[in-house]
Amino acid sequence: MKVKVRFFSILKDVAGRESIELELPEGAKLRDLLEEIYSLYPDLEKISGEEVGVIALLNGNYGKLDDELRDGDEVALIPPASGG
Amino acid sequence: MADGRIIEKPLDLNELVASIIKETAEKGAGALVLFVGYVKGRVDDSEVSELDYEAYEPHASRMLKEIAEKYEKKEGVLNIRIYHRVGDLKPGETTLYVAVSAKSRHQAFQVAKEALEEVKHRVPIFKLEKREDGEYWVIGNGRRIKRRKAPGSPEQS
Repeated sequence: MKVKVRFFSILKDVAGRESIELELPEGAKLRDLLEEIYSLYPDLEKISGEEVGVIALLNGNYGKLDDELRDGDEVALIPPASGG
Repeated sequence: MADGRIIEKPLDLNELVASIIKETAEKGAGALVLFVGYVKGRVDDSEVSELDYEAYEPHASRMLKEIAEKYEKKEGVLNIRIYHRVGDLKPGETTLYVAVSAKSRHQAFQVAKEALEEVKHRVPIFKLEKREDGEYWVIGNGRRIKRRKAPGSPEQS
């Protein structure tokens, strides 16, 4: 299945792109997607441990690591929001 | 009726206030609290030239509306509207509006504060601060990280 991943704010700079489409096995969870993303972009994992919390929104809602993904889902990776 | 969304242009505050009062006075409201956020012209002794806002749409608009609807159900509240601007904004330009009308000033102030905090912490809106000493990503509640590079661009000094 295909899942689109979008990067926002500082995470866009760290990944060096605004989005990517990932091919994941059926039954993959948000946790698996993050592992894949961190293997593609080690700097993202580094920053998530050191400087900025990386938060995942699944189809626009705050996601949990155990959430199961479906074909066509969109995951947004964001730092803590800074509106105002 | 509760309303909330991302907007690009500034709101006419007189029009906003008049519209809320017209809608709520006859229902028993007697207080309106209006919070207006605007771009700072100076941060950490450095002059700010611009604050670039980006929102994850359509989800940011949906969340703003959900927050407005949630807080409109609070006791004594008759109307709440929450609007957040995006785009490249200059110092002094307005960025965020939270308007709450209620039966009492205590309820209006309290709900405006709670709704504002939820907007700031939950809604996927992000800002890049452009200052005389460089560009800074603003993370969460005011933490700033100097921008190292832009996507597809060479390393910045």
